[in-house]
Amino acid sequence: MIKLEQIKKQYDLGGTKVTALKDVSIEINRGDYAAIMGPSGSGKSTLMHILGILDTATGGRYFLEDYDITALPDMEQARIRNKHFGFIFQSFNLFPELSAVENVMLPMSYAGVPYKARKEKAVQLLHEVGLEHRMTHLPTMLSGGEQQRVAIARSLSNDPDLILADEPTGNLPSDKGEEIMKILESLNRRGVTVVMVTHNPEQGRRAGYIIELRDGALIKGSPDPEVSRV
Amino acid sequence: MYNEAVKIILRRFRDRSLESGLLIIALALGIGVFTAGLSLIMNTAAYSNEIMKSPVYKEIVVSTRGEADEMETPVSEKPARETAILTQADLDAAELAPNVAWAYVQNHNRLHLISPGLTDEAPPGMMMPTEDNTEEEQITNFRGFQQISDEDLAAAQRDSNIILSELDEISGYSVTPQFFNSWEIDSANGSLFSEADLTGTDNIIILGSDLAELLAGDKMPEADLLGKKLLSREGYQTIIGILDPVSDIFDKSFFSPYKDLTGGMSGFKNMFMNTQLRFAVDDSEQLYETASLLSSWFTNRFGENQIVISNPRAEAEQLIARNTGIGVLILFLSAAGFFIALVNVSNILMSRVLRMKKNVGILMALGSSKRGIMKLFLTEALMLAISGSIAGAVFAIPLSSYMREAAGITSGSWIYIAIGAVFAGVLTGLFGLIPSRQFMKIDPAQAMRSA
Ligand SMILES: Nc1ncnc2c1ncn2[C@@H]1O[C@H](COP(=O)(O)OP(=O)(O)O)[C@@H](O)[C@H]1O
Ligand SMILES: [Mg+2]
Repeated sequence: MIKLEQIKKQYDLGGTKVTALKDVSIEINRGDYAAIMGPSGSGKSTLMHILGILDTATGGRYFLEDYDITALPDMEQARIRNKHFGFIFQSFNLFPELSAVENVMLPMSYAGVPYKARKEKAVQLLHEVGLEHRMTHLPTMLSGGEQQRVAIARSLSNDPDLILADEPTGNLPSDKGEEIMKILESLNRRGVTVVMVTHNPEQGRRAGYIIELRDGALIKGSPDPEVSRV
Repeated sequence: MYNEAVKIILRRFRDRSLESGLLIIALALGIGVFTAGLSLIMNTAAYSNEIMKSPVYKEIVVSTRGEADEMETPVSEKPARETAILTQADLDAAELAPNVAWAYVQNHNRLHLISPGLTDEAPPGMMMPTEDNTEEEQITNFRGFQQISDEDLAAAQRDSNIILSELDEISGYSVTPQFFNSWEIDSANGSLFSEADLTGTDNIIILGSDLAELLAGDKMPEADLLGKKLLSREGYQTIIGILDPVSDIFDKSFFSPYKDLTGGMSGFKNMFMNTQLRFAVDDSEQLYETASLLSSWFTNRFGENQIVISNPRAEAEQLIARNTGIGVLILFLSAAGFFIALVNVSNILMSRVLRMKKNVGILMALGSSKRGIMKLFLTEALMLAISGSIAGAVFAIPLSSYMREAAGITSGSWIYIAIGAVFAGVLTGLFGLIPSRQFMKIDPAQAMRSA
């Protein structure tokens, strides 16, 4: 589904160059449940941003379904992010001005879904993550776990092929984190490809596929032979 | 296009009501003042153009010194009453000034009408000038009011040819026939008078269109007024014509043939009601030359400092130049105020860009293109521009009418307010564009990392 070839990312800080990624080549297949692991500053978020075409690499090539999308015009990038990717963040990143249901509706408006249809879909998705009684609540009225579940519902609104989750449980107590993990795992069982950044070795083990980075370099990038794939 | 992203902007706007309110007020003030300034200068120009078309501004007015000074000079400094008396014969001055198209007399006049109930009061003809009487009363008393007995009045009431009006007093002008030529006035009914009528002994009058309507009332068609006699203390006035509508003032007036006064009364009368001569030219360019030709003619005849030759156009032009100067200054100041408001708007919007940075990153992750982001913040700028323009126009309307009043502009168009507000709104939109361009530069990956 996705193939990265020799991806490099360098930041130019007025003369001194910071290398965030060094020749990272990975492959992610449909149905994979991958965990990106590594110490802080090792380039995990940078890799996620490049995977999600929020950022462009300074070297290497990016293939999506065999199409080279290394350099796409802005409008195309936006369309792919909107229709094919779903993002989940450590700090939830809900819009505080919008209610839970409106937050879930937002990506569908970019896909051109009419108001009634996107409202219906959002309600249904919030049901699925167990928030049917929180539809009209503003994010500030929700607990962290609830906010992250709204964010998951939002990431699913356009039926994405790939969920990109950057430390989705990082800001949650372990029991709430476990709820999120369960949701992601059940999504994966339904066929959604999931790529998740995590510090938690237990969570890494549960993913069938570990991508480990150190100082921007890939040190482990194939399905872990010691862990059976889900 | 009302969607969830627009909702974010609207609700942010609402949640920061103080900041948003101040922003709109600043804009409204800037736009309002600017619009009022623009409207003032446009109205001044339009009004000046309009009034300059009036025949009044193609004339030289000749009057005696005393009358011209009356308004401006304190009583103690008034020169001894002049000996110069202008008469119709002085219109001959026109022969020396080749550009004069029409020369005529136009004096204010009044008729005191007699209404059916009036005989209950003291007979007006008996009133004598006393020290308590105003000058005007003295004048009217000396004009040869006629006594009207009860029998006369009763007879007049029975005569269907005589009009008794409820109006106390009507005002109008004594004119010589070229007055009608100069103003290009025609009669709608009946006739105008001619040179011959100036020497006649009959009292004849012509009515302005509004006055005719007033006198005819519901009792008769206006045309039936012709040939009838209007009873006034100044005697019976035979109505010989009714004019086409011309202008507000003339339509409410009557016109009688000017007659030079002769005999003992004339000197006294002319002290207060001096004759004004008017010399009209075809082309206003010729006014200055004509004025100097007339000046030498009158100086020759009456001596230095007896006669005042005035050029209303020159005076009006001076006034217009002054008003325009003030208008330009006001426009400049208001434009400066507006500019400062715009810079502030731009600044506040710019700081919003920084505060919205993370949100921009999230929106892009969720599928917005850079153009979508740009459109979103343009919506915000547009909202500001539109609400600022509307509030500004509302604010400009009373301000503009006040300024117009102060500048002495009696007519004016609201269209300039509309144009000004739209123009200011467009400028605001453009200034709102500056910060929204900054959004285009935001790198979503960077934005996601920002707090
Ligand atoms: N905008 C930037 N400018 C310079 N250096 C950056 C920038 N963004 C990230 N980095 C650097 O790139 C490296 C990788 O960062 P990141 O991908 O966030 O790591 P992780 O998510 O694994 O903690 C770090 O050394 C970080 O300091
Ligand atoms: Mg990170």
